[in-house]
Amino acid sequence: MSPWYYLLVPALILLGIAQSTLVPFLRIAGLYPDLILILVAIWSLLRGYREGTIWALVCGLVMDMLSGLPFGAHTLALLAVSLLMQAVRRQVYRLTFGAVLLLVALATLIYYGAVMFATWAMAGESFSGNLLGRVILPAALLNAAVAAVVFWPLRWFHQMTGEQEMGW
Amino acid sequence: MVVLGALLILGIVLDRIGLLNPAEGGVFRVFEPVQSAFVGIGQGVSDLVQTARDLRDLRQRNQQLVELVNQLAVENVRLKEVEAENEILRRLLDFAQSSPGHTFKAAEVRTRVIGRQPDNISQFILIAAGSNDGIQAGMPVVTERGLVGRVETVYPTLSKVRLIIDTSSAVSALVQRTRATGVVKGQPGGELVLDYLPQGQDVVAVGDVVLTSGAGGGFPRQLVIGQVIEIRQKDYEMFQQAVLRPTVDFDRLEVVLIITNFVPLSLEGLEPAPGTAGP
Repeated sequence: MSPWYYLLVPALILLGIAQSTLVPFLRIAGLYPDLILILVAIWSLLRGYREGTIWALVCGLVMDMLSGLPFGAHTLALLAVSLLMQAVRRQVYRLTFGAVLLLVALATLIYYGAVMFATWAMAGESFSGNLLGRVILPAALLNAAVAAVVFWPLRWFHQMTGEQEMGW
Repeated sequence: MVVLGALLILGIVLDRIGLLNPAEGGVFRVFEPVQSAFVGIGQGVSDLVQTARDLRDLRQRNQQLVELVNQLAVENVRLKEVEAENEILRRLLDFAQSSPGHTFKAAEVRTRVIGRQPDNISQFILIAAGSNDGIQAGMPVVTERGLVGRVETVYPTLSKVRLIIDTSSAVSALVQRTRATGVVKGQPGGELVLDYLPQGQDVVAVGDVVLTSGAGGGFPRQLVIGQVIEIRQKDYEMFQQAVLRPTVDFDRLEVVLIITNFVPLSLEGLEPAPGTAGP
């Protein structure tokens, strides 16, 4: 594992805190981007199993600490997203930019589905109302739009710090 | 990665058996300065952006606020005349005076909102007051505008508050004008709906103010929740619904008050009276 990684873990913790404190100020139409989800999804696509899983675990643990949902819900959901992205990465040699955005949107659906399932399984809590139409689908579009911006610096970071494993 | 996985499993197990609080409390001692710093930065940037937006919307917003203040002022006078014996609501609405009827944990620094739910499907906030400040789970949280939510989890220096706009929240309520009762439930996107209103022509109208009813013992009576902006009524349904605009602006919560001498009613452990048939 690269030495820079030991600096990255504190940065991931700060990102997890920022998701709860700074990101809500970026509200658009009542929703704010799931920055952590976007980062985990893209990084899992870029770097694969080990690093994507670590990002999901570190950020997920921080989010669970700051969340009102049962502990572990966000971590498990991020792990599910990371695994999905890794599965795509293994099957596809080259992904287009548009495909990445589509995958981030799909990851949003998986993420919220996993959060709701984990919350129900661990605490018996269920969510009422038209969450899919009013929250999850709009959030998927918002996350895809934000991913269009976030992707390029992440890709640059990936190229600066790691081997070229994914064809772009 | 093994260590992180072990941390995850340990955290889940501790949470299930109710022993996670001390560990989370210790972590929050480290997180809190960072959270406070981030919130300060975010609020500063947000204020700049908001100022630019407000220049465009200022006149319209001001007019709406003037109308709302006038309405609330009239309502306050009515409440003082009709509900003189109700110390709770009168003192909550009159924040210029101290309130011996309820005890508020109201030091500004100690009850700042320092974080929000990190996703879009549930509605929680983190406040900078915990068990060290006498906060307990179940205590109602309010602002001068109205009901915010209820304390869900308490740590030594922090608490998590479930907002009334959370989809899992349900608050027994009544329409102030007609005294019709129902349940206010949070909806996706931060909407509030007053459900289970009886059918009928003058049960509820646009503009009606909705208060907590105190039924069920979850919240004190006559805390302002919101104002009716839309009525959903179908003749073939048993109940009608009213969509509410909360009086509290949940997007701009900065300081909240916690009612510390209200104990939610718990029905656990109650047994049927002697001589009555059991379930």
